[in-house]
Amino acid sequence: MQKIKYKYKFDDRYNPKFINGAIGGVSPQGEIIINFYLERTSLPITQTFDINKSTGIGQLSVTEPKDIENSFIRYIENGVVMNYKTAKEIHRWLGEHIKNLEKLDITK
Amino acid sequence: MDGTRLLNSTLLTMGLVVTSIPSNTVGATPLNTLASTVKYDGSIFTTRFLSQNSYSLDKLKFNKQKLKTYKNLKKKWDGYDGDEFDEDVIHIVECILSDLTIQPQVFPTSRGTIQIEKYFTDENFYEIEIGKDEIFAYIVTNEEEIEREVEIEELISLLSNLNV
Repeated sequence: MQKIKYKYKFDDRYNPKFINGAIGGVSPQGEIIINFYLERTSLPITQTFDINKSTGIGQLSVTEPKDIENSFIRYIENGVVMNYKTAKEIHRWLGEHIKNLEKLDITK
Repeated sequence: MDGTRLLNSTLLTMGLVVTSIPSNTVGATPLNTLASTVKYDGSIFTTRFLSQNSYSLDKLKFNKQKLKTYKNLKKKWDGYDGDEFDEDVIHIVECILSDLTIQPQVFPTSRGTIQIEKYFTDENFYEIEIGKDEIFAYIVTNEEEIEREVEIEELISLLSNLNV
């Protein structure tokens, strides 16, 4: 029987990332675009504290940026673009794995 | 096997292979237990090699358009005693078609059911009759012949690997 071998070649920078969301949709070319993001709370760029002559560093007086308390970061590092056919197959493949995961009996 | 090796082995194999660690191993964590129950199935490890006909958006749209026309067929649509098509039946068929890798041919029947069929070869084909209360399948593959009532999920699974 004839055989075919697929070789998996990894980019030197290959390093899977953790993501917890995606933003994207259908492109004008009819392809599907997915931009993966990691959503987290914002961190300040600078923080300024008052100095109390007797007790040293005192209360926080200024935080940059000012809207830090009502904003979140969605950090996008990676994205993919795929055609309908590939999207359908990835969707099926993912569904199989999700089903497999859901079948697990963790009480064993 | 010590704890660290056990954990590493589990992380490496999670989702891919069955670990050799019995579930009652002393010190086994829930993660280990999870990994030990994951069944490895090479066929779902990678996405499949698809033929040119796989997932044709044009053919899917064509079939959906056909189904849409069935909604307009009234009683005795075939000139005899043909039944109307229930919205639910049309919806079920639409769902099945969306999940199929290769689009079949779609036909209305006088019983108000919809038949989908695809012939690949004499030993590889299927005919499925979809009604409101029952899906009856006749599937012939190289390995087996199925002729019975099936559930939607099983049907998709049976058909999805036929001549991809």
